[in-house]
Amino acid sequence: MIKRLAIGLLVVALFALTLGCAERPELTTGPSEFADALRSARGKTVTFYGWGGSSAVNNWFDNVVAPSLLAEYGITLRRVPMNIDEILRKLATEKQTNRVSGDIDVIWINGENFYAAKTQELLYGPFNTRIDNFNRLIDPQAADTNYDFGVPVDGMSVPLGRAQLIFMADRARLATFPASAAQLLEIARANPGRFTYPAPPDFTGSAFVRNIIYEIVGFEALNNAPIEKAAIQAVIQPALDFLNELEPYLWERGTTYPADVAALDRMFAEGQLLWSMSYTPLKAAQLIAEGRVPTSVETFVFDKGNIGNTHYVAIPFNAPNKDAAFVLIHHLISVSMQAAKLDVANWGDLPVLDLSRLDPSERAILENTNIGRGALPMDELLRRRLPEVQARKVAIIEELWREQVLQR
Amino acid sequence: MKGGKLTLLVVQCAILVFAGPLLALVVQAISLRWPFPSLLPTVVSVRHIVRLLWDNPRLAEAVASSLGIATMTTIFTLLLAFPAAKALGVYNFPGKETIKLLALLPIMVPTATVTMGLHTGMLRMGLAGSFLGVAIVHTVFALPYALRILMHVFELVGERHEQQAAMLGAPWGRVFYSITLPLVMPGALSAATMSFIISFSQYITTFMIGGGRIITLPLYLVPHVQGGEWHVASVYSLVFVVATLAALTLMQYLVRRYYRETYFLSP
Amino acid sequence: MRHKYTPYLLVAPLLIFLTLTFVYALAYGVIQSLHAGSGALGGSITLQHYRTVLSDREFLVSLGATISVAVIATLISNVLGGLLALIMLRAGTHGKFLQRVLQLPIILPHLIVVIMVIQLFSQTGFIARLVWWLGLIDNPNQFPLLVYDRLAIGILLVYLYKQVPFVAMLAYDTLRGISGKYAEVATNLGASSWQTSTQVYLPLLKPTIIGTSLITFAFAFGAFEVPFLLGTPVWRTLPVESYLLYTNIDPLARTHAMVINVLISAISLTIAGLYFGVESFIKRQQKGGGV
Repeated sequence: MIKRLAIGLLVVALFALTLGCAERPELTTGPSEFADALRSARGKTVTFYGWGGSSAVNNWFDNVVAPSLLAEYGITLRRVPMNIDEILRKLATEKQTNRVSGDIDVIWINGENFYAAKTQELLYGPFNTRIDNFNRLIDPQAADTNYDFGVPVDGMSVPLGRAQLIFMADRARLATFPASAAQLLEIARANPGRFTYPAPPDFTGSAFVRNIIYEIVGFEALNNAPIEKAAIQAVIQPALDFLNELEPYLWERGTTYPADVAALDRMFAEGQLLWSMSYTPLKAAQLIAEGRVPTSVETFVFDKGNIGNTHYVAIPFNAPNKDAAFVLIHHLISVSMQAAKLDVANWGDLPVLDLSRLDPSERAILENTNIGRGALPMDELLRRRLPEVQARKVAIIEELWREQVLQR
Repeated sequence: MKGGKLTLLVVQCAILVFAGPLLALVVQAISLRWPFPSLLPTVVSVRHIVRLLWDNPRLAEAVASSLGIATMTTIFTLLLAFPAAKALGVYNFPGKETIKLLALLPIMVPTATVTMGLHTGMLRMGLAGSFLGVAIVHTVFALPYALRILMHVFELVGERHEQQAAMLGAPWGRVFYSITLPLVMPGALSAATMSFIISFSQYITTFMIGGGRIITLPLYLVPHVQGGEWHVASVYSLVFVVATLAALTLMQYLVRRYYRETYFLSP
Repeated sequence: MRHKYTPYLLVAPLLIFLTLTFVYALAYGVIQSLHAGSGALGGSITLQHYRTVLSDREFLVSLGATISVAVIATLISNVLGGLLALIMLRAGTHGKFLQRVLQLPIILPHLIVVIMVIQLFSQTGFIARLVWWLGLIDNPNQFPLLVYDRLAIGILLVYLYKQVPFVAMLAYDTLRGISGKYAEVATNLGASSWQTSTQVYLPLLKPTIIGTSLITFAFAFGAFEVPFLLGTPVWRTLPVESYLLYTNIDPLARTHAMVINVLISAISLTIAGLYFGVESFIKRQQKGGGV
């Protein structure tokens, strides 16, 4: 009996071994032309993984993109909410275990995460020039087409939307809005305890600190600095000094800061603070629409400009449906989808399209999109927009802020 | 020992301190607008509560997820804790104290800490982002509490009744069903309640293992707390309390029905 | 039916489960924290990560703050809880009613208690409005910061709300279990009721309070949600610090998180050891002492 069992196991083992060695699975290569993608993707399901923490974003994907994708191209969109660090860990594990056909077709990514994904070779590409709408509607020379937080894109991702740091204040309570760092200091001095900003590493707070650095020291100086703590400190020291100078006039005299931008919004809505800020350009319009702030609230930026960043979509190395991925991305950057994305009722995110490449009817669609009240028009925001620096520098700046400003 | 007026005052203050804040929560839930510095809400509305609760598929999903995971956790916990509690409560065997110690350790080690250690393993096994995965993690933390309660019950109940029934020739399954179960039922109910509450209240464990795909009620609630949307947060908090109480009442009712049926049915 | 191995079979499922989860989690943390490079397995064992973390100023601040908050929370909640139990005993039926009321804080999850504390104690909270109404302040910023503050007052209030009832309930149960004869004897010997409380009940309460102290310390030390929601960015408790490092993209940060986790686990397990030691000491006393 035992002998038969052993022989049986041996047979099974040999069988499994041959099966394993028979075929070395290969990664799919993806369509070489967009027309091929359109043809072969019809009827398929495309799986999109991205951060699901914003109901506005989820709504846009589920209720605007998905139905139109199905109607126009016959492709079903399956959206899976997952935090980006998990997505990357999943892909890294799959790369290690040589899983050639994964679960994810398109991912939503930018900044540090894109850098990590690119260096760990988790992405498929370059592919962006194989997407029709990319060639037609996106400016190939634009900074954010080619650089994501200072990291060269090299065709491995396509821009999806643009965010920008904006400030908001109530015109009824604050007559003059600060248009520069110097003015901010003045107005804070006149209204002690009514201003503050979220502590880095909160995303918005971190952007605010970088914005102040641009104001005082300039984008170029920071961009050209080497990625090294002492060097960066030398460059940004005047900005750190400014923030320390500002501190005594801030909320709680700067002995503590709100932990995140949600806390800032809360204090602004409750009247404790005279301003708030957000990386969502239409945030003021959304807050007014929700009735959380009065209708006299307005959006503004510094005269020298505010930081903007771009977020992207990319294709994992082991995407099972690369053709459907192409079509989805093509659809996401179409005029209709970008306009719907801008609409304050949906996401309120800026489009990535090159306005000079649009024909008049398309431009009209964008211009007539409802951005709600209290927000700045798109072209004004884009005019006063400053790029992001290398992602690694961001982390160093956050560390320096904690040491030099928070803990002084 | 009789106490005087001071004692009474302290007790009354204590009641106020511990029950009062819940009242504030209820008031906050029915106020649509309650800006500083009003002492009383400026706009009271019950209609907005209905709107918040009814037309809200995401809330329904969060409640359903919470209930589902808590149920799974309770079942897993009871299945694992029951036999172990019997062994530790009734038998004496070498290694008993060590095993008891090990089984009760998860109470003392913080949930976030343990979950971080489990996270990568769960990712590799494909359990991250699944209800099963989250329920498994909740079970780890519910087990020591359930085990403690059940051990205590088994210690009290002993084995006499089962032994007598076995001597009279009853088969093993029948002994368990007709004798063991009814005797430990109150303890089992207590353990089930504890496991349910523990799972239902989890935040960071679900957040980490759920990976953004699983939204339970606490996860749904937290962003509103961070954003200071008090009327929404209060309403959802009350939903939380109501859901917990409803689930526990249901459990108690089922147990009571079970008792009635087993004891009043003809033998 | 009674087999020599029956108890082992009965505990096996639970033990296997705990080994695959709990023990695995602790072991994973230890292994990850000891490896060179970015903590990937296959490197050599090194204490370098421990050296880095233990000499980091932010870590030391975090450790000190976490322990301080836990100690203060434990002291206050056990003293107040014990006193409350004594008072409940003296208050007879009112005490029994309070016992029912105290069940409420025990079943409320910490998240909801956080909401209640913010609603009452924040600068635009209910108490601030009372103070405004009394004319003592004229805008919210003048009200002292009690939540999200550097002194962790908000965090302590949440812990107290949950832990004072917990301690009081257990102490009350213990007190009721003690025979009333002791009090009688003491009174007959001429003791005032205050003396009875301190000389008779308090010593008998000691074992229970030691147990609850260890539990409340362990909880306050390891809590995540409360300091996460109510903490100041200026310093963070150890579990929150660990979590923030863990979710950092940099793999080295994640290794540091594991180091902190190992340290947290070590402290927690020590407390657990103390607790079980105390428990078995009490049991032995009860069996042999015959009080």
